[in-house]
Amino acid sequence: MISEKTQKKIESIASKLPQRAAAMLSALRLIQDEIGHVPPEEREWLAGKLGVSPAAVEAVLSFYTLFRREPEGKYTIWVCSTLPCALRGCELLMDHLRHALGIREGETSPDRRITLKRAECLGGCDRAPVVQVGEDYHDVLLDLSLGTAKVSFERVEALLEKLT
Amino acid sequence: MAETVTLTIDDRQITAPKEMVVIEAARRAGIEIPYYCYHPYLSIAGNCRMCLVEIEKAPKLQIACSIEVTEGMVVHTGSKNVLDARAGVMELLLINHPLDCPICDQAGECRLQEYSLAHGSGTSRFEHEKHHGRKNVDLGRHIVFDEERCIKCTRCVRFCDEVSKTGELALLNRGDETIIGVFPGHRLDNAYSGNTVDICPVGALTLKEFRFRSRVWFLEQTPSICPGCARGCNVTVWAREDRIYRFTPRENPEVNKVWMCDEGRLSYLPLVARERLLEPLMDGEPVRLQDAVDRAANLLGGVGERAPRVGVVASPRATLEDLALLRRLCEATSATDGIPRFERGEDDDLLIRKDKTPNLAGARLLGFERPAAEVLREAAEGKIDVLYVMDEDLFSPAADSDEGDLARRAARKVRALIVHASFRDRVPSQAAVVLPAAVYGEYEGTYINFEGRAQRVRASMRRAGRSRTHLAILSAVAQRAGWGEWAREPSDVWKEAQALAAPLSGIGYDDVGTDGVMITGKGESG
Ligand code: SF4
Ligand code: SF4
Ligand code: FES
Repeated sequence: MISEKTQKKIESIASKLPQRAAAMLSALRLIQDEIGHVPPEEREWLAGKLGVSPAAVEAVLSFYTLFRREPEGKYTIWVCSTLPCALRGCELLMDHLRHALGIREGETSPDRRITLKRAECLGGCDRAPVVQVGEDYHDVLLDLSLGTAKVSFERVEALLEKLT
Repeated sequence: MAETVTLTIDDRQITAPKEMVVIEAARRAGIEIPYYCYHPYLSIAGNCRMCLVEIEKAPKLQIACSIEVTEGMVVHTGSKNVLDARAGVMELLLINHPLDCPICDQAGECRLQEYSLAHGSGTSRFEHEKHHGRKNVDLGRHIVFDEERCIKCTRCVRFCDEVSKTGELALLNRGDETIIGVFPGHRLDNAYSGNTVDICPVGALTLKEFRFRSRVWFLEQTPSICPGCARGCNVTVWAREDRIYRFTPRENPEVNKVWMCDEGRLSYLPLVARERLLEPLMDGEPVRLQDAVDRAANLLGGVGERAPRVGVVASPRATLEDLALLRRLCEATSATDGIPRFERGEDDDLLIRKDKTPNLAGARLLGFERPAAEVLREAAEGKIDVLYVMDEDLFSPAADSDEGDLARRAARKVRALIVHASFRDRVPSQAAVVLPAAVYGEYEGTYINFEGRAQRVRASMRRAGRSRTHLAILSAVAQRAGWGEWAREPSDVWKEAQALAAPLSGIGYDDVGTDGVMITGKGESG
């Protein structure tokens, strides 16, 4: 269960709003910040707290891709797959990451270090194909030296090495 | 009369109450605007876009399910723009639809099918692999969900939020992965879950008990009343070849709106599952009907010194007409009478009543008020010679334990026990005469619900074997006992009921109609 401090914070947000249920997003965020994801038990607790059904919490939680229903690795690599990144080889990048980590999209490496996910536009089109880890963009993944889009495996390795 | 406005729909002048939505105003004027997500007894969601219409001076098409009528509004429901929009909505809905109508239970009553025919294009331009979902998802005790057929209208979600107020369902995920679902580990198990199947406009939610049992167009529909409790929800009985396949709720704003509970919905199942008593019994042996009636008449008859002391236990499950004749039998035999209670659980805020019988108020109207236990006690104490029981369930182990105990003791004590019974399993072995009674669905008559509303229950099957209606049995006994010719048609017996119960005066048998009628003597069953 989340700490008393977070519980109190959630209560104070809910009590200030005209409808307690309006505190949903902030509360889910606080829970995720503390635990790393939002486990079923906390969802039910929150439903009771905000006076909605557990299914209603599930609806919000599952709508947003940045909320986590399952525990993830220490780092989550988001690979952008929208048009500019797609044109500049994001699928190659994704393939390479899958192989390097030995996991499929959406999975977490066995050492629980890295989770691999596909994102829609991350807003970093100028650096396509872009990946996001935590709050940082990494845009050094493409080797353009030969004039064609090509994933730089060295740079991917270097990135993975940083994520320890 | 509420404030009204006048508007034009498809060149017709229509007057409608202020605040009514255009789709309703059109419907009342006989103009059908197609829709999926709209439902008159649920909040407006406006998500399916099937009801788009053109409203003059509005820049874009508007959804008729949420826009309210205004003075001078001019609506077109069949313009080119509207037809194009509908075809577009249909095409979108069908992109990922599995088109498995041949194996879908909804076929024949599916809006997607109907509107495809009326508004669809007949071909698909979509060339890619459809998005597939799970089929046969076990969602609840009675409900199976097919993810691929769902059009995300959220009617089922709104039902659980607003009507049953249990909130099990939600729209999960987003985009083309959007799906109806429950909280992990939870199930769609509420006392009213079957209604989600009725309101689902497609074959996404189906009822386990009806799935794959019959094509709906083979079933004959009879408007009737649920016998499951004192609410008397209005239902449609769907039957074929003397067998009931399902109940669905029938709209009656005064009684059940358009809902019914799961227990009532499935209350026909025992009729199919329990073994029927198809012939009369005397001392446990099958006999001719005439012999059984003779024996019953003999046991009840007799004058002066030879007159037996008769006790009668009526049934709150019998119709008003049945009970009127039973009242006459009581008078003819100077019987003492009583009525059992079949109660379970509690009344809830929506429909369910703890009185699990459909006509206790009717029985009271005809003077059956004393608790059956009192009559049974007298019988058990040897103060009654002949006990006449109209409802075999009195002897069921599930009946109120005091009453059940007393009934079994009384059965052993009295000189003769006469029972109307429909099933073999509860017939007490001591019964001198058992008369095979018709079951629900085989008879017509009137029930009075707890609010005092008389409602018409109708037959949808022929009587099984040599069973007879209570009316036929009682009038045959009366004739043999020499009490005269008693009416045996419900509409004729109604007049006798009127003579016995003042509140019925002035109301004809046919006045009860399909929607029922309130009678002045309020029959609160408490
Ligand atoms: S399951 Fe049926 S009622 Fe529920 S959203 Fe899907 S189509 Fe609508
Ligand atoms: S509430 Fe009573 S009358 Fe209505 S469906 Fe349920 S059992 Fe039948
Ligand atoms: S019926 Fe109007 S949007 Fe669905």
